[in-house]
Amino acid sequence: MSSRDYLGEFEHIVVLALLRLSDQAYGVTVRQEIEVRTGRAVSIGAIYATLGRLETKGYVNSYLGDPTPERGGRSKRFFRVTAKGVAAVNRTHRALRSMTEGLRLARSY
Amino acid sequence: MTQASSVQPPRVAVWLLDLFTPYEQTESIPGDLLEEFSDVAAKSGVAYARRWYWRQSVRTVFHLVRSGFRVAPWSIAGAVVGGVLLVQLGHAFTEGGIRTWNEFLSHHVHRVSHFDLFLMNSGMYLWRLTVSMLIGCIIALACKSREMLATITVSLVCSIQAVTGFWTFLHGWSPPLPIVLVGALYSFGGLFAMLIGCGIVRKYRFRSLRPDIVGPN
Repeated sequence: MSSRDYLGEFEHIVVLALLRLSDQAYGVTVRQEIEVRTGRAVSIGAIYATLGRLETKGYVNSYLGDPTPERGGRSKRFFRVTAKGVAAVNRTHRALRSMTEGLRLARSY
Repeated sequence: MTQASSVQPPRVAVWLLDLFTPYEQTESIPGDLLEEFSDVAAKSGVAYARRWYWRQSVRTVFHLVRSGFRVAPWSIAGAVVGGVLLVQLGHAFTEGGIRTWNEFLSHHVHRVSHFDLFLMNSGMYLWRLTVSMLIGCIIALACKSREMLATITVSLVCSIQAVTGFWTFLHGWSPPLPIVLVGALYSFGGLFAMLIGCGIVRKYRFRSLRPDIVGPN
């Protein structure tokens, strides 16, 4: 297992947003989900750059929906987490749990 | 149709975004921004929505540029090296042409009017712009999907030479403003022509391509 099998911090957040949104995961909803849950302002560009990276690694796949008038006749690109992506999330979680086990994270430095 | 949905985002921001968006994302990124723009306009007003759209576009372009360098570093590096060599070659030919033409005139034509000189210089300048535009087209053809990124990088590299040339032109004397403007046009016009050439190729490529719609497996 190489270090590439773990998700980066923002990749991790994006994959979790995709899992939460299930069939409704596309740029707008992913961006809003992350903003609402983390309070972190992100741009569509950051979301797509990360999704592109995840798609190259085989952790997510995408397909185009039907064009809609409110989008100027453009289609939504929906994203789904693959089995390989779910495995990567689990691996990252396990690694984080293992690293934080026994730590008193409430301690102020 | 509601008032908010009939409001259009800032044209310059849309144009800027279109320039940098890879073909595979031409449906999703502008569509997502337009969809959210309409929502923001309905909730917070058009002025706020326009500012929001500008912020999102600029940040998105920044991420697209960064990911472009990350995803295809070698093809962009190759395009930059090839592009800079082409620019040097193209300009060497142009300068050579100008020198040959001037020598021909000084030997064979005895009386050249100011108007003739103006026409000749304009012609040479237009030729230089055309060569630059063609180079922009060649870079764009060679660098699919990331053509604007590659051409802008070539332009930035070449702008070092343009700035040096312009500074040398101004150094040691204080020319009147029209001469400064002509000098600036001569030094930097080629860079813009290159970008226009790239824009033309991108526009035609954009029109000819149809995104393949793939359904869920």
